Amino acid sequence: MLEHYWTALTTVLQPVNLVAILLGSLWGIVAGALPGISASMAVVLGIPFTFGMQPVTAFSMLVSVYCGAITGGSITAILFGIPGEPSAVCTVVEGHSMAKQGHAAKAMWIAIIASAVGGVFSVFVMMFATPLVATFALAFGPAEYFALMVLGLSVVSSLSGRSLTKGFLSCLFGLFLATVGTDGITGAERFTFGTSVLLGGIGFVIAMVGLLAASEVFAEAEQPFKEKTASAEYRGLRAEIPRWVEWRRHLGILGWSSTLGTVVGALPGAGATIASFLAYGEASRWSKRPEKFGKGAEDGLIAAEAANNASTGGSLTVLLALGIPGSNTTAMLLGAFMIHGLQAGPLLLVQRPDVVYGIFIAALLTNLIMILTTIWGVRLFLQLNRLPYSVFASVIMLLCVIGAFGINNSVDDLYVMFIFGVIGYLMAKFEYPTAPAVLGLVLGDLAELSFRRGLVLSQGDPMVFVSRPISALLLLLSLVALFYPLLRKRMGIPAES
Amino acid sequence: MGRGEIVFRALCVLFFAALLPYAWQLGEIRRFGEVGSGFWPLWVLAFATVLSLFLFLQGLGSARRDPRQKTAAQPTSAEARRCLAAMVIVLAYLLILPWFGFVITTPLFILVFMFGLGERRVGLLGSAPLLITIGLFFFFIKFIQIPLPRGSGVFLTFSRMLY
Repeated sequence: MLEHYWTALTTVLQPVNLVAILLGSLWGIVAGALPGISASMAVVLGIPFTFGMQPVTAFSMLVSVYCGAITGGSITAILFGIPGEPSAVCTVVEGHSMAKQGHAAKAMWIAIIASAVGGVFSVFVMMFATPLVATFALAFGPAEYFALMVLGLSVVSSLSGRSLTKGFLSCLFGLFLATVGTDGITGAERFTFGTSVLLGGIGFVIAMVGLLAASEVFAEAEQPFKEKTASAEYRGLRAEIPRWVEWRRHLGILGWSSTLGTVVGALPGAGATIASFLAYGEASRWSKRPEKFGKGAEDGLIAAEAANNASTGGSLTVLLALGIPGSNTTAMLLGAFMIHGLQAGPLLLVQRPDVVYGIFIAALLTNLIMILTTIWGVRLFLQLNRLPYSVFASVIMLLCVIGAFGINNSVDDLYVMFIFGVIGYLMAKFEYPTAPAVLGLVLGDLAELSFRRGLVLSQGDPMVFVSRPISALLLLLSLVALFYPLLRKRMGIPAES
Repeated sequence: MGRGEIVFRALCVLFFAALLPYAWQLGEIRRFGEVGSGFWPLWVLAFATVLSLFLFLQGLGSARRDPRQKTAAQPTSAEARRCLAAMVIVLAYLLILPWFGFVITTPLFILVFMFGLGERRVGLLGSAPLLITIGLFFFFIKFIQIPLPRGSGVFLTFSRMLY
C-alpha cells in the first residue's frame, strides 16, 4: 500500500497536477462563493476542462473543485451575509454577525482554519476507510450490486425537498432516461424512435449541464436587469490573525465537528448542509455560553465550517469504495468517472490504484492549498462580485454549450442539452427537484443490468435479492434511508435542500 | 394552483402514459431465461404514470378547493417574456452554430444575450463579447483542443485559418 501512496505522491506533485489542483480549488472557491452556483454545478462546469486530461489530473482537479466549492461558500456568507452554498447557512448566522461587529477578518480566519482541519481530518479517514470498505465490497455479485444501486437511489428521499412524490417522480424520470438507447443485454433499441442521436443513450453530462446549469441561467433571465455590486467594507486578513492561545479553547469542538461531518458525509443523502447543521446544533448544545449563538459565536462558526468540509471526505469514501454517490455533487463525480472510462466502486481500487490514491493525495493537498487560495479568493471575489450578471450569464451559457459539445464533438448533443435546460427550468419552476433525475440517470443503467443479471443467475428467482446476507442488509439500509427524512422531520433537523 | 402547473402535471401524465405501450412491446425482445428489454422500463413508466396521475389529481383537487392558492411560484408575463427571449436567443445560437461556426457566432450571441438580459452599456456590449470569445477560443480550442463547430462554406474556410 505504501508504494501506491509513494507513486501517487510523485504523480500528484508533477507540475501539471499541481496546476490542476490550484485552478480547480480556485474555480471551486469562486463558484462556491457565488450564490446561484452550487458545488454540483461547479463540478459539472469543470468537467469539460478535464476532457483532454489524464484521469489522475482530471480527478485531482474535480475533487479540488468540490472541496473548494464547499469552502468558498463561507466567503460571501461572512462578508455579505449571502450563503454561496446551502451548507454555509450556519456560517451566515455566526460569521456575518462577527463581520457586522467589525471582526470580518477574524471570522474569515476561523472559517479558513476550521475548513482546512475538517477537510484534512476527513481525508485521513478516507485513506484508511476506502480500502477496507472496497475489499469487503469485492465479494459483491449482481444481487449485491443491485441492492447497492437501490441504496444509492434511496438518497432520492433526501434530495426531494418539500415533496417526496415529486422527488420520486423526478427519479423515475431519470431511471427512464437511463433506459434510452441500446439495451446492454439484448442489443435492442429502446425509445430511440429511429434516430441515431439516441442510440448511445442520453449522456450524463449533457443532461446534467442542461438540467442544472442551463436551466439556472434561464431562471435568472426572468429577473429584471440589476447591477450587482459588492457593498462590503473589508480591511484585509492581516488585521486579525488568530493566536494559538485562542485556538486551544476550540480544539474539542473542532475535533468533534470534524468527526461528525465525516460520518454524516458518508451517509447517503445527508451532505454538507446536514453535517453543518448537526455540528452547529451540537456545538450550541454543549457550549458553556449558548446565549452567544446567533450573535457571532466562534464555536458555532468553527463547528459549521469544520463539519461541512469534513463531509467531503465522507462522501468521497462511499463514492470510491462502493460507487454510491452520497450527495448531488458526488453524483456528478460519478458521471465524470464514467466519462473517463472508469467505474467508481470496489474494482477501481484494484484496477486503477493510481487514480484512487491520486485522489487521496490530491484531496489532502487541496485542503492545505486552500488555506492560501481562500485568502486569494476573498480578494478576487470582491472584484468578481462587481461583474454584471449579463457577462456572467453569457459565460455560464457558453460553458454549457462547450461542455455538451466536447463529449462527443456532436452538434446534436447541443440540442439535447438545450431540451434538458428547458425541462430543468420547468421542473424548478413547478418545484420538481432535478437532483433525483440526475441520480436516476447516473445509477439507472447499472441498477437495471445488475437486476437482470441477478435474475439470470438465479434462474428467474427474485428471492436472490433478499436471501443473500449482504444484499438483504443493503436493501434494509435502503429502506432506512428512504424513511430517514420522515425521522429527521420528527427530530426537527432541517432538510438538505 | 395556477393553470400552468396543472397543464405541466397533465403533460407529465401524458408523457409517461404514452410511452407505456412502447415499453410493453419491448418486453417481447428477450433471450431465454431473461426478463427482456421491456421489463425494467415498463415498471419505471408504470410507477411514473401512477405518481404523475396522483400529482395531477391532487393539483386538480386543490385548484377546485382554492383556485387562488399557488403551490409553485408563477412567473409574471414580463418574467416569462424575458425567460422565453433568453431561450429563443440560445436556441437561435445553437441552430446557426453549425453553419457559421463558433468564432463568428459566439461574439454575436454574447452581444444579443447580454442585450436580452437588459445590459445597455455600450462599452461593455462592445468589449465583453470579443474578450470572452478570445478567452474561450484560446482556452478550449487552442489549449484543450476541442474542435468547436467550424461552420460550412466560406465560414469553414475562415475557421480553418484559425484552427
